[in-house]
Amino acid sequence: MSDDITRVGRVGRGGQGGREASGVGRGMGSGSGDGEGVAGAAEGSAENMLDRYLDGLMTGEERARFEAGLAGDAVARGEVEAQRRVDARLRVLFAPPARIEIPAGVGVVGRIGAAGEGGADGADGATMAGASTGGRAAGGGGGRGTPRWMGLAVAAGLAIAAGGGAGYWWFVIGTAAPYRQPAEIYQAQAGNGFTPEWVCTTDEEFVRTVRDRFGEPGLLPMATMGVEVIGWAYNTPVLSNRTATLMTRVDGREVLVLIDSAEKDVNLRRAGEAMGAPGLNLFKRRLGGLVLYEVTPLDSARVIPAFVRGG
Amino acid sequence: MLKEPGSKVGVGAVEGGSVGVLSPAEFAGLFERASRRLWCVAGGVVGDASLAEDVVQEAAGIALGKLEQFDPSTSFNAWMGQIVRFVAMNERRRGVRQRTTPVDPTALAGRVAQEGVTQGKAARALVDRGGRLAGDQDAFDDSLCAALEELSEMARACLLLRTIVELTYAEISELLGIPEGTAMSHVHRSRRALRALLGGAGVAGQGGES
Repeated sequence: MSDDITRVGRVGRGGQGGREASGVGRGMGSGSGDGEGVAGAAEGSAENMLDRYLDGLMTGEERARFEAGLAGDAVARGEVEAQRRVDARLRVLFAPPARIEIPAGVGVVGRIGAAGEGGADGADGATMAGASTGGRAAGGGGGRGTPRWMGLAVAAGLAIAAGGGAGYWWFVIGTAAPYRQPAEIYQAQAGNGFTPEWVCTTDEEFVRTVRDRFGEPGLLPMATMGVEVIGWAYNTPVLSNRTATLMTRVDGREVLVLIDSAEKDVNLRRAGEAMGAPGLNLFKRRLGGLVLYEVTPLDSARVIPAFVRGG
Repeated sequence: MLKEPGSKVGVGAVEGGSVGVLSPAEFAGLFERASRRLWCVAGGVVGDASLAEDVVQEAAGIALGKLEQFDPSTSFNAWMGQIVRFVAMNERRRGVRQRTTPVDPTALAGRVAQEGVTQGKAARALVDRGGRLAGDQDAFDDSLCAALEELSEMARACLLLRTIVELTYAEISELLGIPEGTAMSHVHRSRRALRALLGGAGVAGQGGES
């Protein structure tokens, strides 16, 4: 299987030729062998036909002919399945977020915490500096904005930034804004004594819990040194109604990890800057189809780097 | 009355807009509708989904500061696409210089173990012990990300725009400022290259049976 694909791939890199050993090549124009093969079913090179088929560019008649040939061409079938698997994972790994904030303070807002600040791999850090606590970022309080509302929010944000110059102001654009801010969740859990609603007793159960909720497995291994897993809290809507919070303790300090599907991500690092929570830091990591935010009083992310994907 | 992302914004055609200059409100509406495709452009050029949003946000900030330079009779997508590309290319160059820690989960697990974050065994090993963990999907995703790095920035962007947001080649052409045929060629070659590069990662699943 892999040999076949490797061969085909050489063609892909080189652009032409070299398909003679593949099933598609065998079928080209001959109509013999283990079936007519996909190339024997229509005009054009086998490679181009496969490209056009995978791209959905064939007419109905072409497609029917190609698929008839595909039935007798195991190598070509393998390529089609391979491409479908690649596409499926691309859609998960590169799922655009549900909404993207735009900065309202043009010329004021810089890139904060980019490229490795905080030290966690793939987890950018930014201090939640600001004055207010609780509630959402200014201008983002509505939740479900319309384009008109968003425009007004941007305009208002510009005015705020220009007039007050106090910190950074971001506005959430899209169909849904964060329901609650990370620091708000942190403070609520602290007030609740970091009492979990659910505790996973094994790694397998942890993976299952994450997969059942988000469709993607993820694991914080129980034996991660220095990290004590306290348990889960579920009524913590931040990115969506399904955002789950994992409560942990690191070096005796309570640390939260907010977990949700990557497609629900709104880049809280930015939103958090306006929310204000002195002494708390926010780190982010994408893990497959999941997005993880670590809310911590520590200066670096200690929990989300230890997360791994599960099967 | 905001136009679709691919359409041109006629002068004075946008509700509440001043003639010839896009207002922030109009920008917000157009940006929202284009944001997914702009995100794919950023993700493609940078090659890192976790940075794409930052890039788009930065580009939006830049664009908001240059609204007077946008001609509403031209394509908003093309204009924003160009800004996103430039910001993304800068980010990628910056990333190449600054990224000194691994982002790959496999390397990450190794680093975690190396730094003693896990007890005795690497996180990877703990996962294996748990059964059904760190399985083929994990390895495949890592391989896929590595394979994407082998593609050119423009090829990645074309591939994501076609695969993720299912743009037509005309739309990709407009967004990236390249001919349609070039966009198609990028997508087709990228797909072949990924299948080739992933040949050892079980890319075909069970589909390669003879």
